[in-house]
Amino acid sequence: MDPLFLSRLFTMIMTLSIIGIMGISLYGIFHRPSLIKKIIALTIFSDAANTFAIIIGYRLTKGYGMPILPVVTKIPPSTGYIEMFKETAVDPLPQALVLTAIVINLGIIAFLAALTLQIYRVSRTIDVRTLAVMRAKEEIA
Amino acid sequence: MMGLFILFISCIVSILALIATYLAIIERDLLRAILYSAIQSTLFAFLYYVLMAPDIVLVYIPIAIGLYPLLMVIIVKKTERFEKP
Amino acid sequence: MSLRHVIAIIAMVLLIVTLSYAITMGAIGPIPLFKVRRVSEFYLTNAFNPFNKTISAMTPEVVTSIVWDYRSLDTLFETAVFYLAIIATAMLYRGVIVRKKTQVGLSPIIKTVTKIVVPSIIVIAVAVALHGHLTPGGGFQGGSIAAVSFALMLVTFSLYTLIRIGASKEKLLALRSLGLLGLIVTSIVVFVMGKFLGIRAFILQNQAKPVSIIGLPFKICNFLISGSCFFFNVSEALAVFMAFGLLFIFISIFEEDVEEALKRVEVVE
Repeated sequence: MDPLFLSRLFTMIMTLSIIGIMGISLYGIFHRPSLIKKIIALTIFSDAANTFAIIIGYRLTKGYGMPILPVVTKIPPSTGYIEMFKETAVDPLPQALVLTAIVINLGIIAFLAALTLQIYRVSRTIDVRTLAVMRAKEEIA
Repeated sequence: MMGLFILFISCIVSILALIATYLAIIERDLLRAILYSAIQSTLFAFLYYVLMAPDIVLVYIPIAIGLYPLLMVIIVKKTERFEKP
Repeated sequence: MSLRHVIAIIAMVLLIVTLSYAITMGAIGPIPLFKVRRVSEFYLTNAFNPFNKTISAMTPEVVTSIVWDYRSLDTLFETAVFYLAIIATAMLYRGVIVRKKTQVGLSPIIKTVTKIVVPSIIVIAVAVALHGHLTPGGGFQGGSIAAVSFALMLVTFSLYTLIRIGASKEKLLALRSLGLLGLIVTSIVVFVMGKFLGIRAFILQNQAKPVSIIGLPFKICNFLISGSCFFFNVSEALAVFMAFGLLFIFISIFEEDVEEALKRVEVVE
């Protein structure tokens, strides 16, 4: 079969399954009543977004070969080596942005977990519907 | 042709990750949901390795397979384990 | 299956189908690519380029040079956001006094295995943090690996044994502030040197630039240290390690101590 068509097909299936993961985890955030399930779905959603960025940053070399890591291995490099490196290395920019995003997400999830514990200590429930009823009764009284 | 083989492997791994996250969201026992989410994170770490991103693998394995499930298991132990329908 | 659930599932399916159609028709360009984008070609050519030393970062590892040299303002804001998350968690536990108790922990088999494994994890973490400018690694990676060893110790021996040995919240916070101080000093050292010598210089500067001729050395006695990337990696590893340790100590305080602090606050109001 045509190698260009095969490479496009495999990348399309990968991208579509990542979008499917995003859709399922969005459903989990909105429609599951437990606060802990919402936090688990939020971690899955942010992981899928980071993976999407890295899939876009992949490349194929001429003749459908594998690329190399973005690390210079010959010190000091010659001009020919820099040319070859530019033609066969993977895109390094999405990796740097995803690195920052993973650490920020960790800080936010840890804070949300501490907030969930505090909500349980004050009102002894984790269910969102019960919390809404309690809150409505408090505002009437 | 090695590039096509790599794309084929990552295609299969991402379909398995889709199945694992469907099982994680549907599940009502929260400890099992955490376990399915850790399986999905392991498949994603393998995907990052195959797509030539070693810096991301070194950050992702301790955080998403080591620290997130531990944090969630401590929270589940201190609150409720089952989710009401 | 109420009406709410049906509408939710239809909305999710519609979202997936619309995004998939847009990407299949080429909304973000043809993927996979055969040439990288022009910005990345600049980064790949100039990360380690001894022929053009005024715009090069002199770092063999391209991702580290993007994170700590070419786009270091992004990393500065990310450190600030992480710091605010730690402060917000510490604010929830205001007024909690951790009393001394004795706790047993897990069985002796697990304790012996943990005593063997934890030093090797810390050695790997220090190794990954120190060579972040030569091969894949760096500050965030080393700090996260070291945090796993701290969480392991917290679960096996208990929190109160660790506090009795000497790890308290205030000590971890002081060490984290030391790491952040190292970050600040490394980012303004070239600017201060320029002020003293009367040469124009900028903050977060690594090597010499076309408009300012002063910079940090990238080689010390044939060891490649890439200027400020090495010091940034070491300080960031210490700061991230201490931050995760602090988060785990907050999460695993006993419920009785926190309930007592809550009761005290309600009585005063």
